[in-house]
Amino acid sequence: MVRPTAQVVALSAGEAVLGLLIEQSGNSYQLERRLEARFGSAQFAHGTAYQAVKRLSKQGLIRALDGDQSITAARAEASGLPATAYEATAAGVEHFDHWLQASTSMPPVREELLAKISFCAPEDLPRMIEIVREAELACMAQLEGLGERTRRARRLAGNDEWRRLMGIIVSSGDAAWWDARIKWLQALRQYLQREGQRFQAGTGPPASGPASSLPRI
Amino acid sequence: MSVLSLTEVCLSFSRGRRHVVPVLINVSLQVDAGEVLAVLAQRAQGKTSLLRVAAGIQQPNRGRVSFEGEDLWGFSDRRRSRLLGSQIGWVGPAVPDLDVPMLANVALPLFAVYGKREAYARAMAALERVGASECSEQFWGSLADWERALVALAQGIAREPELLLVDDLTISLGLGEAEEVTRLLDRLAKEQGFGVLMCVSDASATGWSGRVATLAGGELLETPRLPARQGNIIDFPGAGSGARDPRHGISS
Repeated sequence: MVRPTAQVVALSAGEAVLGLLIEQSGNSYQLERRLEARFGSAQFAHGTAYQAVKRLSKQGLIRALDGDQSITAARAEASGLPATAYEATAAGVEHFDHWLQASTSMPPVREELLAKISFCAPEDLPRMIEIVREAELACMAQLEGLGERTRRARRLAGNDEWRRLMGIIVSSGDAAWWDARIKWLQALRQYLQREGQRFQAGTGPPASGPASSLPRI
Repeated sequence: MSVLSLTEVCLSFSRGRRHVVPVLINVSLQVDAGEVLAVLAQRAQGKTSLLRVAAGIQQPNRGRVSFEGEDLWGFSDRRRSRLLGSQIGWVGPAVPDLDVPMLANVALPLFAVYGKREAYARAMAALERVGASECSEQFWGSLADWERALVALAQGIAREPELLLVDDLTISLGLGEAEEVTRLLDRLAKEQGFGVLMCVSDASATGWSGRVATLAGGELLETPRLPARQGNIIDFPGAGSGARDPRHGISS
């Protein structure tokens, strides 16, 4: 059995872009769109696919379909020529298979919000409650985006039934992540609100009450 | 104009003489024609109370509930109760009272308004619209959970409401099924132009609706409405507008 590594293994854009190219060749712009549709929750920065294409080409894992005459998407737009499409090389396919078969490890929980709660004083509670509310809203924005992304991913999957099925599993995994997160934030917010009121009323120090004062989940 | 509009609605229940449980605190929301607002809340957080207030069944302690711009509590009791079932449809995971085939089950509430023949015709049309015409001859006991959800949906839309209130319809559905049902709801709302207020206890059921709000501790939270977000391909929702999620461990 492989022991889980202590090393952080988060999804890298490189592997994601490589996988997309193995599925179907395409130019950087198309890859950027497909990356966003398939892995929107990862919130890769603008232009991630462009950077990944450069890096993967340098590593010899992908190559331009029309030889060395690579035309960037921006230049293609200016010149009216089609942007360079890329495909995976044999080394790229091998690298990707290796990645797919390798064990994954869970990223550590390095939650800034938890650290803030851990350090906050009673007088910080109103701001902490506000921060929790902001985090809830951010999760909701992600959920709202998920529907549109799923729609786009499904359009890109076309008639591929297997890809469609995997897409459903991935999008419900995404939703489950945001669901758990929102539920915990809601419980946390109610707990902080209740403790803040108790503290103001002088009926006891905050956060030192019995566990039974936790809101029902 | 919004189909449904709640303005600073407060609702609380008293438990005994001294204890008051606040259920809704200054809740404001709007549902326009053709759109779906999904409210995500856990159990005992006021989901059904919110729907009852929207339906005009429960009068709030404070605040205004408007249906198509008119104050619901300004109506006579008779008019308000007639609204529910005709212009306001209710969809919930309730077991039917009578053990009859699903076509009759959907048609029965329509008998009060239409003749028998038209009631059956409308019921069949509603079942067809949700893609459940195969269930018309079947009994409740022989239906799968997702078929039951479709039949409940058919019942809700049979009288062509302007507002559909949906109470945790997808609660017992499996992976992908909840998504299919909410996608259907979204499509029907757009095609037929009714507004939907949908309460769900699981985020996977919000996947296809355009707007998501949460209800916890009596407080309704909703993301600001940004019309530019829809159809924008490159901009990630929430990214770049300061609303980044607090998740870590993802590198690019």
